[in-house]
Amino acid sequence: MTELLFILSHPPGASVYAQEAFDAALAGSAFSNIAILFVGAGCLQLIQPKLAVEAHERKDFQRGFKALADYDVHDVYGCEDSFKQFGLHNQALVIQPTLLTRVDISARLKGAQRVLCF
Amino acid sequence: MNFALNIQGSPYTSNSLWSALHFAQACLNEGHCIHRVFFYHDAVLVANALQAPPQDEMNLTTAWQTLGQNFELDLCLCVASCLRRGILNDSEAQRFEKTASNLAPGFNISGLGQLIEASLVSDRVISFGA
Repeated sequence: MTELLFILSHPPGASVYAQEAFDAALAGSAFSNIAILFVGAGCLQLIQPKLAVEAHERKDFQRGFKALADYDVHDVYGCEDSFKQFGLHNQALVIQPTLLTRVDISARLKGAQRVLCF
Repeated sequence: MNFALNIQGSPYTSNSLWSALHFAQACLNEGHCIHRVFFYHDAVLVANALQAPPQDEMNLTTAWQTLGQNFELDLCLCVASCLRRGILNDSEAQRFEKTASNLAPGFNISGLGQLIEASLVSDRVISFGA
């Protein structure tokens, strides 16, 4: 089965892009094997949202990350450099992705059959 | 080669639709195929029939319509992105009891499955980010 690699780079909260990108990844999981890679400010999606969600101003779409295994999505990666940049190493995250170095990411991209960037 | 395009940027606040248009034109002129053009995020706003940019400026909506017509392209919009941003065809306008529809001719509204299908059957999927 063809694997689709979804690269998620939008921060949560600033726009609906992160939420819509995750919707696309979920749609992908219904049809094929998928992997997800959080890069740059996209890694901030992994932080559990608080205020805006409690005020019902924003949908807690990140809750869906916990259900990825139920969708048979097991390859969830995060960029190690971005984690360092945003100080995410000691944060409580919604899910813990497998961290990849730049070299790992480069190899993963070379081996990917299809890449969808969001 | 068979391409799928995944376009995400807003018509007049991003270069996404403009870059994608030129990429598509170059592809087709070189004899490649485009299986589907999928409009996601704010890129669906290009299908708003009510846009009326000044006459001496590029009209992205008509540019995409013309390319679509000339090469019989499938110009497909994500339904969820459309509904959030107020791009409605007749049936959605009726379903949500709105007073008017505004989908420009030549575009069609469908689901995310169309993006996934296009990605799977094409040789390359090219994303034009927001």
